[in-house]
Amino acid sequence: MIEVIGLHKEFAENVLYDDYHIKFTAPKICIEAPNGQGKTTLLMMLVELEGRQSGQVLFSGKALTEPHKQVAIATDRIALPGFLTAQQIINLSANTLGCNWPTALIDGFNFNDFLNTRFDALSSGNQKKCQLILALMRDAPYLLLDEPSAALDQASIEYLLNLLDEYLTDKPEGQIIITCHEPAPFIEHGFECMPL
Amino acid sequence: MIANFKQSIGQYHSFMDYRYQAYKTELTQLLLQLKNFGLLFLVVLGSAMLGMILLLFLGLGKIIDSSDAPQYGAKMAWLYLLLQSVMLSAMKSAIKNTAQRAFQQTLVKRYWLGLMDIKLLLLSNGWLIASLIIAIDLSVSQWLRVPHFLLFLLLQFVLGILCLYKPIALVYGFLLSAIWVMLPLDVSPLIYQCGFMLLFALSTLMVPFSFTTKVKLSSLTGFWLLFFMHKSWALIWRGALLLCVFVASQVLLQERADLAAIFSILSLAFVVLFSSSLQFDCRQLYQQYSVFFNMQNKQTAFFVSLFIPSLIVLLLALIGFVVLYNQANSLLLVIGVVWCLLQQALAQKKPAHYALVWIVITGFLLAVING
Repeated sequence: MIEVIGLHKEFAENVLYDDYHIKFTAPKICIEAPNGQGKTTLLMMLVELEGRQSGQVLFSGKALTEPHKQVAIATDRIALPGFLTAQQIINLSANTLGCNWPTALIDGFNFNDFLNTRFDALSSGNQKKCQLILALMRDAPYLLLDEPSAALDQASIEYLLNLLDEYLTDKPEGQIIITCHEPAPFIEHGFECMPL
Repeated sequence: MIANFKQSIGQYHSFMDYRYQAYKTELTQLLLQLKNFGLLFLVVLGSAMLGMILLLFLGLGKIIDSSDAPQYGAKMAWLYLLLQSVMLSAMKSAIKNTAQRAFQQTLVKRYWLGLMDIKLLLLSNGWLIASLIIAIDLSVSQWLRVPHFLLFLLLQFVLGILCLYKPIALVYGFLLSAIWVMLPLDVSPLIYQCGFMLLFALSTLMVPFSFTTKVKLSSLTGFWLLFFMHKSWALIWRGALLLCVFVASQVLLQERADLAAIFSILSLAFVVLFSSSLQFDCRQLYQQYSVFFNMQNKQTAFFVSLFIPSLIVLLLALIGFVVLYNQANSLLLVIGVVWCLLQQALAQKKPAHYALVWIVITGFLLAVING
């Protein structure tokens, strides 16, 4: 369970969250909210990539000790190095995190042909696939995906949904949280919708 | 346990290789931007590099050996620290790999990022390296005579860290310490350096300010004001370098008052260079937003307004110029304005000729003075 307690976040003079409390209890959750309500910012704060003025985030009742190992996130907000090829980025992540090369994920997303393309030259759909591969390869107990189906082709969406079906089988305390404007396919696969 | 340690070392090396690669890539981009100034400048700057390195060490000598003129040494130290901060600010995003900061945080422990930042900061800080070269060369008895130099070294390092993580403290710190070195005091160099240390430490406690949210965008003036608030860097480095030119001129004037005419032409040339080159930033903005202003039917007003920021910088710099040389030579001032307008037009229409024309006019004016 992920619990947000007394969160306060503001940009300049715009208050985004003020004494905000929420509990994510279901294993698979889809956050729904209109544009500009702070869905991506919330995900970034959960994984401590975005600062906050005050508040606490607890994962199964505890604060994160090693966020980069305990939570995986895929979002456009994290700019990947455009001067590296997709293969170099995946390789860097595998080496620094001590993961295996994600052959199955690369095959599943039909990404082999784009491994040698520089990240900034990839199409938006392939950039999304690269982000998803980087998040999924970590096999972290908590998985946060920001608009995971945006720009993806139908076959890749199907592959992703099947992956997410199996993702938590060996992670009893794990959770998947996504943000999505078209949640129907995810709801069909067991996701519970939650407003912000 | 040994296997874990080996794995950690391997992971750190992978991360380090990435950071070096990102650093080199961004520095290359930074150098490519200098092409805006024309390749000719690179040749001129390249040939002047040896002179600049000598000046660097000369300035350091004045800071170390300032027991006879502590205030002069403190002013030199202030300028030295300012130029170091300007240079590091230009390199900051390369040092931190700012664009991919969040990505880095998803890969490794937080303190690894800090470790790499410090490594690259030390590698980039030529000013500190120069000081360290001198520091190593000093004997123990010399060290005992110049304890303030140790504090200066520490300041150089600490200001580098502030530049990376708390740049607003530098703004406050330089303003406060400028007042400190201007006060008519008779104190030792060590007290001056302690004062710097205290003022920069206090600056880290001050609250950041933001003007941008308070400016109402209702006219082109508001547009330009907001633009320069967001891109204040373009003004900061020009201001710092102009200050450097003025201080260097002042020092040279004290040494060789008979060469005042030559120094005034050279200062004017740099005033024109630093103010008119702002047109490159404005030109870029024009290319970016001309369609937007066309849609508002304000294309003419927008085009004319492109030339105003450079002229405002020129006006302020000319005031400094008049104060420095203690004379208002109207012919020289008119030359400065016309020359600036010409350089602006070149930056806007024929950027490739910008540097060549600047060098030719500078040479011509020097020849006229000597003739």
